[in-house]
Amino acid sequence: MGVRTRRRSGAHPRVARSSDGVAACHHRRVDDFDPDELDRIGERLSQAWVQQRLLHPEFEADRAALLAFRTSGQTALSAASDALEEAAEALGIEEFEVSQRIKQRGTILHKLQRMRDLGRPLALSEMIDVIGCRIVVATPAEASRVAELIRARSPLEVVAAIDYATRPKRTGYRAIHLRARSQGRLVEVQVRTRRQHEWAQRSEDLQLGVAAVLRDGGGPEAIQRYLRALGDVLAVRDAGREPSPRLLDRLERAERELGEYHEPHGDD
Amino acid sequence: MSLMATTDRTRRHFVVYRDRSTLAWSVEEFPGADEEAAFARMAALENHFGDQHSIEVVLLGAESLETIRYTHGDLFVGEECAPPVVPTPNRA
Repeated sequence: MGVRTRRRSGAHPRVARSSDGVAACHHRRVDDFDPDELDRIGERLSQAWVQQRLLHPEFEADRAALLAFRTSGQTALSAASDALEEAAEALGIEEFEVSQRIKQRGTILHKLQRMRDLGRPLALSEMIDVIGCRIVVATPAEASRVAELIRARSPLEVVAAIDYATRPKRTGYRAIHLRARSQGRLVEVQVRTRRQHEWAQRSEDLQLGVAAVLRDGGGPEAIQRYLRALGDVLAVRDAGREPSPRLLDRLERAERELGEYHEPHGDD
Repeated sequence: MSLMATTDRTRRHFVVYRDRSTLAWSVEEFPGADEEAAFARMAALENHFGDQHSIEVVLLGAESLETIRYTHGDLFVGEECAPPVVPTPNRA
């Protein structure tokens, strides 16, 4: 038997009006969006975003189309969140948190521009995390069991599983990521332990103080060194062991070297 | 193993506004069945602040405000402010 997906009362097709005055049809299927046209929209809007011309009237239709593309994934996203909750419940996991998000417009456009600048252009239609959900559980064992149950028995079609928990990113990021199809839409599913989540939140806090993108490995080396050390310490604790004095010393030194970046502050 | 759902959670929608330059944030909550209102509010904020790169507008969904304050805690660093006064069209 697969993990059941509940249909929610608010999930039937309706039409909303954006402030552009254009219908944002969140019941549209992914097939309703021509990938080539989506990619052209992403290209135009990301350039307009860089030039701070996004609100120019000539981009009104593109803005509305991007909004429709993002919100049209809401029902698929809710189904993915349901699958996560039901998997955790089926496994008897008592404490877990599930949430979902539609990727910010600015973040999408920034990512398109950033990848273009890096010489690795990304097409909007191929961006896998436009919609995403996350579950945070207590232990690595629970995270593995949730991910495995989603892969084996849920209505989500998992097309890729990336285990950053055992093979962390060079930044120190750890989690299990599942790239899945839910009702035809690509959804990024993140399965984290509480300690992995703690690390990710610390990384986001530190991101506030720097312009470079930390998750790309950018920014001051002091921050990257600290995050790698913190990730290693938390991973040892997640494994049920106490970090060695040498590892703790490495973290302590890295934390001291954070200096001005230690506390979150704004962009200015 | 029985995989029957044991609870019937109600997912709610949250539109979070944050100014990264001042670390001011606000959150507006919408019932689960009223996602169109959440979409409209997100779109209104995005289109009002569209060219200000320090402004973030995020649409989240979860069982409760406490959940998103945990799972997306980085959005809530700083001081809470009143939601921006931005005209939001009525739902269709």
